[in-house]
Amino acid sequence: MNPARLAEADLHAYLDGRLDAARRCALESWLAAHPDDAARVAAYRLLGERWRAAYAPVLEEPIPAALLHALEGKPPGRRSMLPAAVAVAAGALIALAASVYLTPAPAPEIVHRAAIAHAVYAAEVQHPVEARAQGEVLHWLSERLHMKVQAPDLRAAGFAFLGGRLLPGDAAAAALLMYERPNGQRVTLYWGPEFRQARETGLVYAPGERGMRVYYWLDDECGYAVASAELSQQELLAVATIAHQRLEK
Amino acid sequence: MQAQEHIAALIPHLRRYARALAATGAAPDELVRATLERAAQELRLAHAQADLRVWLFSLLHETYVANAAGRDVEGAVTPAEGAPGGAAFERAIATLPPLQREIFLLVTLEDMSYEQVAKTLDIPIGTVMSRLSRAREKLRLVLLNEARLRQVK
Repeated sequence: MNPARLAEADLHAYLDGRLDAARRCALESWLAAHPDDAARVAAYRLLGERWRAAYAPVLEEPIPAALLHALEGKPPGRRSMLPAAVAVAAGALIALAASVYLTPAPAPEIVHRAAIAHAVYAAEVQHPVEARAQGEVLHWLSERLHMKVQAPDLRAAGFAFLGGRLLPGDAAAAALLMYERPNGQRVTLYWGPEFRQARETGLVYAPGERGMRVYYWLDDECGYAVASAELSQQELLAVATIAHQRLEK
Repeated sequence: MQAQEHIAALIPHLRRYARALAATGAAPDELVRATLERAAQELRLAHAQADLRVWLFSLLHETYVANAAGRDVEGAVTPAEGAPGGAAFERAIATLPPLQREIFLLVTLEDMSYEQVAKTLDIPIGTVMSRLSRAREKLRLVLLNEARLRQVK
């Protein structure tokens, strides 16, 4: 490098760790003699660190099902318009092609159940849940569902636990836990042990009927669904992610 | 299937990039979805790619440019609310021309080499280096200015 002049490109290549040893040495001695340029390099470095830190959490977010469907070459929503037999055949094909990243295709019964339960009980002002203490209601639900029912802490998303209630299922009992924000927005967490399956699904998005949004996941013990009529998909994703992490840890 | 799995593994990176880019208001996941749809259509090409990441990001870039030209991706309605990074980052990045944004973010978030950035955006490597230095200087001044304004208040 010409010692009388700074090559701006070298300064950036230095910053990005892409200078060879000789030019790095030359640049470092330039910076030692020119505090203004050294301060600029420090500021650029800080910029990079701030940007990386700001967007790092995105890498940890669960992948929305719609994106995986797009990769499978299936536009979202198209599937539901297919005749049932074709849908089953398509489902079988997808299952055949599924890797660990790909989630089961048809919106399952649990989405429908969770959406109905939310619509019926979240709208209730007087008695949305059983009038019992948290510990007592969870103990009672655990006995009826024959599994440990927990209320994951959703305060990080602004939701406080309101209570729970027992629901009828097809073959076994189900439970509905309700949470509320100070502004009155509610989300529900549906527990349906009859939807358990050996292969865990991870979080899957399913838009329900009439603006209802549902995220669900299935594991070998139970099926879970987080539903809301009021939250945006992104807000609901934040809530579902916390619930999923707390319950699957 | 192998290429598809590799692509799926890169989805979080595409989402992060789209989120950081999307100060324009374009819904980030819609950008990614459109990118993945194209990748699915051209999956046969994926097998021939030496650098799958460069190929995917170049598809995202083409979609982004098409959007920026005023054509919205179908169904682009999700607002970027609750996006990480906060308003300061979004305001600052919005002051850059689209190409400078892309160069800065590919280098900063993806740690791409200048050559990879040049291939991704289909521009000469000299352009990458000159625009990168302009982008950093502009961001430095914008954020410096914001910090000064906060002190005055």
